[in-house]
Amino acid sequence: MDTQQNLYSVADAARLLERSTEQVRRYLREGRLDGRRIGGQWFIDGTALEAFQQAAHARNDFISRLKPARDLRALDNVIGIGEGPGTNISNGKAQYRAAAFRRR
Amino acid sequence: MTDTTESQDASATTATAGDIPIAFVDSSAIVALVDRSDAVHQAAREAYEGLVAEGYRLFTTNHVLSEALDLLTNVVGAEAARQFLRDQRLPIYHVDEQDEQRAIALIASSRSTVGLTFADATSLIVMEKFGVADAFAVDPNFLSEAS
Repeated sequence: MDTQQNLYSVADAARLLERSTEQVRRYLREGRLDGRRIGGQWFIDGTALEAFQQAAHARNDFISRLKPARDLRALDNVIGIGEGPGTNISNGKAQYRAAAFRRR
Repeated sequence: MTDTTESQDASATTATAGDIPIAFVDSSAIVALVDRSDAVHQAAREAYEGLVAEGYRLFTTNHVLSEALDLLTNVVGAEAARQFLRDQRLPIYHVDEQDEQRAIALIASSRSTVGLTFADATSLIVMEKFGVADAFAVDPNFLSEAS
């Protein structure tokens, strides 16, 4: 780590995030992790690293709070509550809309 | 539960996120469940019961909720759409700005001839972010992009 600029190498970031260096490079290429290239190598700002970690914790928290569908029965109350003009959503959403308008 | 994009068949792709089986719910599956006259309504019911029986955890995004409301309002009717919104209990993940930026980039680079909806693109980004490979969906365009 470059302490003056608070910059981390890919290897440092991988260790802190508990990911592989390949994953960290992919995050950087995809823009999921902010970084900059200096002399052909990626470096990650400490603030960006912290933001990424916080987002990861939030994601894990969301996933860990999901209840099994058999307990939640989230869609039970909406099954069959409406009746359209006899369309087929498995043809795709665009076709579904178009077919519905044609049938009216 | 089968991995298929064929018409007349509701489907959910098969895989899990870590040790917990999790499936992302697309608006096409919601419409199929709500609209009792849809050609795949019965198949969607069976797929939903299959996910429930297999211990899946289900979730969706605020964008999917918006898309489902729009589809239902325009095709099934505003009353059913409002009832859906009131009575559904899906856990909702709120798409953030970075998700939206990545969704825009995904749409811009997509080779789909049909075109991804913005909700579809954000769904794919969120699924990837959470490491969720399963989707409860019946839209072949969404399923082909998700696979």
